[in-house]
Amino acid sequence: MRYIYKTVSLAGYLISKNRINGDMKRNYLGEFEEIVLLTVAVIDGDAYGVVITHEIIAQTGRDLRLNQVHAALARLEEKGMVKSTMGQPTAERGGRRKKLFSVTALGQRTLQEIQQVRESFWSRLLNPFKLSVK
Amino acid sequence: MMNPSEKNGPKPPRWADWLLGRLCTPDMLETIQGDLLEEFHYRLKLYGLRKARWRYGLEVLGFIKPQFIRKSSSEFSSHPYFSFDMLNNYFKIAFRNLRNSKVYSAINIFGLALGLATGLMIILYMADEWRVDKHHADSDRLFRVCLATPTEKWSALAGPVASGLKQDFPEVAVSARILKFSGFEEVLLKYGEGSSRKEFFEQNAYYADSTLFEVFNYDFKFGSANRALNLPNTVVLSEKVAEKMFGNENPVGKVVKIGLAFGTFDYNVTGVFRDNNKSHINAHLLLSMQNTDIGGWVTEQRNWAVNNLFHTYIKLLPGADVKSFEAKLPEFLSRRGGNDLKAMGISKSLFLQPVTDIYLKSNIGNELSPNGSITYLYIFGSIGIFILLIACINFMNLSTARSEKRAREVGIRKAMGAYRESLILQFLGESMIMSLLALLMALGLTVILLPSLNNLIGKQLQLFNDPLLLIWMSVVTLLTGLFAGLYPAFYLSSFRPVSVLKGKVLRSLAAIALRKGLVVFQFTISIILILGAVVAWQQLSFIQNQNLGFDKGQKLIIPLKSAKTSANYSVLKNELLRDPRVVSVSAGSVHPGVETMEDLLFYKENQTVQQAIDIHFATVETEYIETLGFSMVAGRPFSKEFGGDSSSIILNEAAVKKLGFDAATAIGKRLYYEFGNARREAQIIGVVKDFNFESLHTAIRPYALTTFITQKHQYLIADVRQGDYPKLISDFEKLWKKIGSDTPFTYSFLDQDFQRRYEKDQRTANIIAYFTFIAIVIACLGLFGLATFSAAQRTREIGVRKVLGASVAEIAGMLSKEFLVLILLAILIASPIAWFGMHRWLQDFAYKTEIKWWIFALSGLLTTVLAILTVSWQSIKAALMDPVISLRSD
Repeated sequence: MRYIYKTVSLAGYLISKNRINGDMKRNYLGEFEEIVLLTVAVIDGDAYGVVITHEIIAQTGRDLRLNQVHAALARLEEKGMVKSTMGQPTAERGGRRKKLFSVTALGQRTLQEIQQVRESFWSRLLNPFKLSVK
Repeated sequence: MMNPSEKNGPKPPRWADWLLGRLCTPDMLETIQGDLLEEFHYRLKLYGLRKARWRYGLEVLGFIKPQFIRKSSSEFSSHPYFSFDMLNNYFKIAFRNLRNSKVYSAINIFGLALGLATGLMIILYMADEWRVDKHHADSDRLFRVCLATPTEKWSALAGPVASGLKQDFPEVAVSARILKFSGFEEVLLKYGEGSSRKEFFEQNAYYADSTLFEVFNYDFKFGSANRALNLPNTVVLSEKVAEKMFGNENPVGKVVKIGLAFGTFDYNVTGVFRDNNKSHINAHLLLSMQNTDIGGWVTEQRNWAVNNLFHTYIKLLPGADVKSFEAKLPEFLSRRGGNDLKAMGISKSLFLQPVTDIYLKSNIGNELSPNGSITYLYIFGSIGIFILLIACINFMNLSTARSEKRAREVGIRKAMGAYRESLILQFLGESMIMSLLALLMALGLTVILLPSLNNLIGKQLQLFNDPLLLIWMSVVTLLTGLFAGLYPAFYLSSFRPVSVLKGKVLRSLAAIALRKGLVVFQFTISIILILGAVVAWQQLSFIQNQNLGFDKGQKLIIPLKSAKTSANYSVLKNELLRDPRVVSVSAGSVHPGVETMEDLLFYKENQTVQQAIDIHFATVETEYIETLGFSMVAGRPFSKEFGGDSSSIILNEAAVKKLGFDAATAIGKRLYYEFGNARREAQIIGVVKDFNFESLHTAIRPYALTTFITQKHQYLIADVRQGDYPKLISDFEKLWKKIGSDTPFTYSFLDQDFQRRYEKDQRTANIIAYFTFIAIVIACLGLFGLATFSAAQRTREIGVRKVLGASVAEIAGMLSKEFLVLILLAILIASPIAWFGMHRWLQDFAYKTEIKWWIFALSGLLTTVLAILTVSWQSIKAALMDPVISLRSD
């Protein structure tokens, strides 16, 4: 019986170690990740790969491919900024389900923090840019 | 609504789908494929099929990123094999396991260490034997030319053969001879004057041709091999002899006096060779052959049939075809020596022996010194492997037996997500650590035991001589660890966590059967070794107690090594006979226990030399027969009253029979022989009972005693009364000095000389006995471990039985029985194998003991008793346990 006790304590140790590692992960977003996260927030509820891609293309005019968006979404999910649920299958997807993304509380807070930081910088800008410099 | 994914609708490129399906992780595949397809239809409407397909392919290639690619079947991303924490944990658990079960660990490690140490020592021994004569450059082109007669093989040739080979065959690059003058290979060395004067006998002094160093490589410490023996009366010393005589000084150019049978001669030292390279030649001194002492006799050797005393070596040219060269030898011999052979009535042929094979494989007549034996090498090698195997089996058995204790650990680890591979790695690692510990211990053991082993086998083995050997040993150890850990590792890691954690006892039938099979195997080997050792001892005592045909007890042998001491024989004899402790004194050219070199062809009246038979002979003084206690079958011994018997001969029964006489009618018959180019005559005056002159390895040969053919004052033989030998020897030595002998006094006892003939067998028997002991110890260690385990496993059962009224004896019997059955099985398997092996071994002896049934009974009984002792210790301990305690633990 002594043995089981030891091994269980080992398991607990490993779990706690993992959690610490999770907390230590970086908490900032890249520019593209931020845009994807914003897009998910904007679409709110029905955000999945294709829609997000089309929305970003429409809003920014960038040439964007699905795999880039998927990679960003996977990173965001790993960071805990978005969460996903599986949606309904549709015919034009060949009967496959959508993966629907929504922003988590952490994601919302992060977006707000970014916004606040930017606003504080903008407000300190004494001489706002004129649209035509020289 | 039309379904776009219908069969005949537009489709994305198939290769891209296939690629995605192969590479993408399954949990992401559905979403990605769905999104891709939706995008495809979107673009199809907007830009048309071609562009949509193009875009689809591009997208798929874009998904080939680490994030999306399929990993190992697990959903976790990192492999924990080598994470520091897990390694740390493995070590901790391994250490705790060692500590918590001290008995198991000790048995495991000590058993393996013992096996490894034995293996290590055997490898050292084998490597040492193997290296002999392997150091010569071009060793594949070096051969010894030997002689075969219809009855025996002989390692030396007549004098002129060597130069004949060189002259007649272009493929012979160089030939060289070594002359071992039998009986004279021990010489007296003298150097210096006054207080720094050194004088001692030295063994293995051979004459050699100056070309010897062109055939063989000798590593010269002083002087050089080139032209070392070119001048007459030059000598090359071995390092040891040079040290004994000159210390560390360079002796080249110094003159030593060498006392030979024909007188004392001055020799000029031209070189000293190192002893590090072993050769079957094993010379301590090499004398040049064209000397003032023996040179004249050597040059006279023109006859191709007689005096086959020259060991002849040749080096062939590179690329020479050995087979076709050997095929030309018969023609060569009959062309050059045909007349001589015909005149002597001898038929013989030449054959080649590779020099590298001589030490291990050759055991023919007149070897320079006793050789090793490949058979013994194989025997030792296989014993070593078997002992190592027994130790490995212990390790495996104990580990699997113990696995039950660790089953829960495996269950928890698996439940926590451990991979099977990481578990295998863990257990293999543990067994590797154990085996490395065992290796360290084995090295320690070897260092401690090597001096006694060297003592036993008469070698100077060193552990740290050969780094390559140690590397090999480490490899063997790690392999042992791997091999021993393999089964437990795979067995343990295959446990199913659910059943293990439920507490279900893991007792697979296969595992138990295997464990039992391994015990049987171990004990089979042990019993074979016991049987082998018993038969070997029996054979040796049989030989030593065999009636030799004469009395070897209380016979003192004093070699007469110089011309002066030989001449002083009668003086010495008369002085000795005045001593009341001396019964009788005689002398001869050889004495029993020494190889008889001389033989002649004898034939009867009205016959020619072509019908002659080969008889070995000794030239002896009168009273030789009485002194040595030969018994006469017919006729009379030599006697002074018959004018010294100047042409009389006494034969043994074998010779009489070979000549076609019988003992009674042979007396008075005349025999003829050719010697010194003349026909001579001898008259048979007596027949002695057959006797073994050399050793019981060889059968009795026709033998004759004469008083006149060769020098008879080589060895003085004195029959003395039992008593205070040290006093006797010192009195004899005083006498020796008094009569003015010019050599130091040396002596030996006949029974000891005879004993020396069996030294190798004795040594082998000793080694086998030690090995047997080690094998039994290891096997019993294993049995002890298993018995302990079995008793521990049945603690509760024993408790319940005791509560229900079983007696201690009943329980101990129950526990011992399961092992005894295995031992009995092992006895049954081992007996026929051992019988077969020992039967083969005995074929080497002319006189062999019978292998009797009681040997098997005895060894079986011995093993059974040992096994009972081993097992019952644990069984009784378990049976004596208080049931209250054993049942409380649940």
